[in-house]
Amino acid sequence: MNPILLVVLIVGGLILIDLLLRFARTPPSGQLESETQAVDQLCREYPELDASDVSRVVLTADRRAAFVAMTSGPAGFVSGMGDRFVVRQLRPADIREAVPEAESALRVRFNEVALRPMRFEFSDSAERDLVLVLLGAARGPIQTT
Amino acid sequence: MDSLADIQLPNTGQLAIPLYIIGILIEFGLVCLGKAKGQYERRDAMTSLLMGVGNVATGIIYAVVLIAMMQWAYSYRIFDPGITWWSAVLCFVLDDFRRYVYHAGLHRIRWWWADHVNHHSSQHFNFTTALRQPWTTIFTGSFLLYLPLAWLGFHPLLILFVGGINLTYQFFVHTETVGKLWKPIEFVLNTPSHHRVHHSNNPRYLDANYAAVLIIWDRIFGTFVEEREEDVPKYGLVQNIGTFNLFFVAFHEWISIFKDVAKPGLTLRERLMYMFAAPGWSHDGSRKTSWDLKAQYVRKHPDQSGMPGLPDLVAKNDGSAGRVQPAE
Ligand SMILES: [Zn+2]
Ligand SMILES: [Zn+2]
Repeated sequence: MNPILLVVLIVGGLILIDLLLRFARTPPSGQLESETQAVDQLCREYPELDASDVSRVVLTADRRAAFVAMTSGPAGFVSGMGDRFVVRQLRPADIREAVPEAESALRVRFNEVALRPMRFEFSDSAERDLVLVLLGAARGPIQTT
Repeated sequence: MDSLADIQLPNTGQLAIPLYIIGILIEFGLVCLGKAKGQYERRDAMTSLLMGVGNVATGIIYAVVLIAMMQWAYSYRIFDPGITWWSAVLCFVLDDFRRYVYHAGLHRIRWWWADHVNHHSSQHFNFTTALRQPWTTIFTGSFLLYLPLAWLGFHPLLILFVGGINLTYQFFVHTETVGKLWKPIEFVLNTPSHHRVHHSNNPRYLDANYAAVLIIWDRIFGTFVEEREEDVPKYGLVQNIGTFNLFFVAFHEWISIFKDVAKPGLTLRERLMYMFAAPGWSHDGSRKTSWDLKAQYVRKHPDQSGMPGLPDLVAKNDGSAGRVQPAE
């Protein structure tokens, strides 16, 4: 096949598919409907966890992420990824940095390569501070400045 | 040896590209119309497609190395079957077995998994997932596995030709639009149902169905697991990636390997294990391998012990209760 034709075909195909995906009916975004959904996601990914051991769930303002406090053990973390979710247990070694920003935001850098830095906006500073404590509790003293 | 220019075989890889585009458009159309099962998400699909484009680009370098190595091995060939219909069929079957062995290695050796993880990193399963292919295959050294075929006497272009057909077939098993096919087909061939199992992170489905075209290899070597209605496949990795950034999609596991190997205080053996042991191995047991996850599942669902894809946690009177036996 002519290389130019091949390139035209690939580029044209990509553009066409991208346009169709943009304008077609898309599935719901990775938004958490409720705290229960966050716990369900966490327990499905970590079947050793028991939902009754959850002590508190903090949803971000846009409901695209949740931090789940357990009565013991590491905190759970659920984050929207496209129309699906990425779920982790956050252990001390997993957080590189957790820095408060503005009134009620938090910027987190993870040690894991496949989790890129994220910024979370909470409904108020109390919830943000609670998450900070959660992450801090997960890693001992936390660098917050 | 026939010069490469003397051999006329169609370039199956290139000819398949229009077929892939048409296939995606039809599947996407059927899904949108509610006529078929399946889901598309724009960023996921575009990530998969762009990984495919990168694979074609990096594949040029890989192909140059591969062809040179195969030509070298072919010059020492022990048989000379030429290019005939029967040598093509035989070459296809042997190459398909090579693909089975290689695929099993891709899932069980972290150095190879770092390359193959890309194909599994979507949480969706549709035709675009088929094209989510790695950029780093040249680092796996997998071209060495082609050499026995060339050394046996199969012409390098014949090997590439049957390989192209094989890859084109594999595109069509990445779909939810098709349920289970006619039983004899499901018995012999890799089908969408079998490959849905392969792309799932349900414990029973992990490390199963490595087949490219012929599922018989999995049946023979004990890695076959049937798709079950009561255990609906959940696609993706045991720990799904949280990025659509192509650089991190392509290289995240390689970077993780290097970070692990560079950890202070490890022995040489531990550093080597981080490179070549099964994905999920860790020096302090803080991570889980597929077998750990399967065992954990069985402990929670003892009635499933020893079922296909799950270890047998047999309670015996000899005190070995609770020991994990691989299901193979
Ligand atoms: Zn695979
Ligand atoms: Zn696949």
